[in-house]
Amino acid sequence: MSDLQTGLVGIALLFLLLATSMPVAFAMTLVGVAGFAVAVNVPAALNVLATDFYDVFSSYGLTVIPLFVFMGQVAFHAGISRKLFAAAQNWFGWLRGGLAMATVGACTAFGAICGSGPATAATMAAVALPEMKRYRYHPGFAAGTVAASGGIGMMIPPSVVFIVYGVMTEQSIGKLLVAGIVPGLLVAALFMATIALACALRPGLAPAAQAASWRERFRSLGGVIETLLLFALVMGGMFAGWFTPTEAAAIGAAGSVAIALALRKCSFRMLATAMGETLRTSCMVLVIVAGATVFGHFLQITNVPTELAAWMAHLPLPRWGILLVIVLFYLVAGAFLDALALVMLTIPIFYPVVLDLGFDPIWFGVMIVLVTQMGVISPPVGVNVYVVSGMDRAVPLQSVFKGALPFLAALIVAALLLLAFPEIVTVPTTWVK
Amino acid sequence: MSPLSGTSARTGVLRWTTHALAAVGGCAVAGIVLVTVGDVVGRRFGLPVKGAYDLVRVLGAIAMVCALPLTKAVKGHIAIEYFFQKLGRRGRAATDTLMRAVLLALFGLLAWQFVRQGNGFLESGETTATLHMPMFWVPWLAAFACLVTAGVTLWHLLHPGRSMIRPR
Amino acid sequence: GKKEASADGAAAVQTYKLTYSIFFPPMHVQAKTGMEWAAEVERRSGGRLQIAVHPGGTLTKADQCWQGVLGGISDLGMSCFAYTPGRFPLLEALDLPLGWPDGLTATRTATALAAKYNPAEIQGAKILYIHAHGPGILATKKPVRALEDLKNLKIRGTGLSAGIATALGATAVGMPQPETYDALQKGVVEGTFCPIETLKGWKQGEVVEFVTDTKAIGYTTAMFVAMNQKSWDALPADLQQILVDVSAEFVDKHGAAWNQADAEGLEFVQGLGREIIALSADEEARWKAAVEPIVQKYLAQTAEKGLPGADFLQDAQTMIAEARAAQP
Ligand code: NA
Ligand code: NA
Repeated sequence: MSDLQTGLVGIALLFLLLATSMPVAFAMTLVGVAGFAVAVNVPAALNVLATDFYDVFSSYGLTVIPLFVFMGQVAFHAGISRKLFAAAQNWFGWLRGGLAMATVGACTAFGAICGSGPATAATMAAVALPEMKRYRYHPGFAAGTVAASGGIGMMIPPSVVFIVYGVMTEQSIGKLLVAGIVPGLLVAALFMATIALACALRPGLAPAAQAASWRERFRSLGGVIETLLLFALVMGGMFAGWFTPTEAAAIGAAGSVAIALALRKCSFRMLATAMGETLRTSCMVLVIVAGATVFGHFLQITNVPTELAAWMAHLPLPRWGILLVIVLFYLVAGAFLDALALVMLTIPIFYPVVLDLGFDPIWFGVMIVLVTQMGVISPPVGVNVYVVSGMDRAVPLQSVFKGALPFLAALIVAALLLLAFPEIVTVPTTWVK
Repeated sequence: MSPLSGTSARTGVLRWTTHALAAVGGCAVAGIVLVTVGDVVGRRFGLPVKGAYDLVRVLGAIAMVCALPLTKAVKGHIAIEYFFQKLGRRGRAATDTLMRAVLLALFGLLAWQFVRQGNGFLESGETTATLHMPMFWVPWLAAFACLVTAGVTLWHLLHPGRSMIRPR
Repeated sequence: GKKEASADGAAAVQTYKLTYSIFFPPMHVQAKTGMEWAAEVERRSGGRLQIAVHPGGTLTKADQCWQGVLGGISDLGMSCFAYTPGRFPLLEALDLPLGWPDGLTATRTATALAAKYNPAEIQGAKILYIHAHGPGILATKKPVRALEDLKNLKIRGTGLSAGIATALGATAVGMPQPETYDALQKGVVEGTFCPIETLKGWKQGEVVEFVTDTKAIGYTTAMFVAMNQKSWDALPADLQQILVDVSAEFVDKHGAAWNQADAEGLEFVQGLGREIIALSADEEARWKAAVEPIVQKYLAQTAEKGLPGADFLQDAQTMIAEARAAQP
């Protein structure tokens, strides 16, 4: 069996194992290890197992996941998020899907603090899901909203993928980071439009509420103060240069506990409950990341992604056809590989092709991040969907995927818009000196 | 009744160990918060926490490793159950048993590999970058957590349809 | 490595397929030089040795690379010794702030000394050659003209560079390289120790204002190109000889590439209008004295372990002095 065949058999085997209800993380681990053993040898495969799990568990950057999840859990248990969403309901409840739109907005704002898609999804799931449930939103739709919106933060700085892309392609990182902001906001706007459209077509998704009086609206604004304080602390501290985006997670966790203490909602019991949920959720996410890493290393050794990419880049197609194929590739490959690894693997192949075709390099970087955003919510291996589904066990995985489907369509529209109007990306970069 | 039934001493020990490990993990997360806040505040006065970067990595690893048994015990890992639910009762039972047996083997394998990795760190003297703290005990702790997780998986195998610790 | 026999006409030709994990991103000049090395090996073996390069840490990450080579995850690996601290107690001397003049000197010295001492710590893998970057400089947002200017300045660094920063009186802040751009921009750190090449490679030149030439205490980071011992032993003698020959030729290519990268880095920061600060001879002596405890600590630690640290250090310093003397 050639390496390429081994890789393809591995992918097929993964689908089979997934169907047996084997937890996704372990299915990827098993196929990855077995495949590596076939492609190289058994001792090397066993080494991959320990090395990858240890590497993911001891990763400095991934510590933001438990810390932000803990912040979200404390915000939930101390009633901070409840008051926030009560205010949102008062202001936007008259609009069908108003709370879901508020969630999109909250995820976008949170993306300015956090650079990790799964961390955003996990934190916002803790904060927003129980509230949307409280106001009787369709569970799958609510979960899909959170899973999809969790990806917006990848476009908005801080964003490690942009930095790595900039280093690899020798583009100005300052320009790249600015380039992500407008498309990120565009995606958020498209998501809100999607919610409005979905609710208009299927009113059962979100119940309509009576418009609150202006008096009620302004009174409920008091409940937003704690959230604003927390956001100002984390955001302000980052911009003032007090701490890095990774450290911001720990500051946010400490800040949420401080606010809970000030509200007299902070008992040992509450903290223990929040911590238990935090450990469970973050461990689930990190084991998925570890499994995906093992599986990714198996694919890497068989050269499947590289060969596929090289083959696609040289198809006899017109300019836009090649681009479409590249986008499709990232969409599918994003399902199996970590965004960063994918960029590392494929940029050397696609980048020269894209330059040859006359596309703007910064524009292409934004496009890649946009498409990776699709990968985290598309079946079968959409990390964000897993995270959200893991946090709300009442919603089966397939209904979260289904709930995220309209947003996948919105992302495709966003990609087409970027293709038709590259100025969305290129014009803001000219504002950077 | 199976020898590992709900109230048996062995179940009690397994549950207690799972909770104890989770408590250690919780303390580790709290530790990350304290170290980072201390470092951020301290360096404004030229008094950083030496090796904060090292400490955060080690504490993060402890937290996630110690959460493994708990996550398994509350059946916290995500699976695609769509096709599984379409199977008949006996088909589901058979698939479930087979899958758990495979997982049991996987956790055993992981534990073994973590022991080997820890031994490797011990022999080669690998340390953290700034504090030069020996690292061998972290994989050993991971190995122990994997063994406890294997125990939880065995419990699930012997008690089909139940969670060892009920999720909240 | 995998053996594959193919009937090529009458004679059966055995091809050996090797995997090579490089932590540098694929567009980095050192990754490219590594790929050229692989291509040259393949060419000279007439295709009997085939090397699949996996750059950018996509097969094993920088800090897993050595273990990956030992355990056979990849047959070959290129990464920094310093990413697995404590594993290479003797070779640590290479990374000390000894005042390395340039990358080529560091590369030649490192390869020569590792071959001469061949310490126990590198057994288990076959070291093909070692290369090392040019002297670390100090890039800052505020001007640093004297040791006093560094007092309590927040400097990015982990491991050795954190030790140097602390010894000079600065406040060391640990963070990964990808976060450093943002941290410098926002002022989380006010400076970073790195080879000047990094200011272009990681674009950090965009967000610093001054570069202090600290060649006097220039440290380096030695990087191994190593092969799994079993994969090595499995090769016939003629193919082993090709690897040895090509590696010997590539030592200078990597060294020259580091020098070239540093020249481009300097050009980049000068193009951005950043001020390059030279230290006076008196000031250089003070900086040297400030980092001397780091060198002494190395001597004490190797002595404790019964390693020939003093000889190794002496050899390195002699080679540095010779290289400096030879320079205009
Ligand atoms: Na972000
Ligand atoms: Na996907």
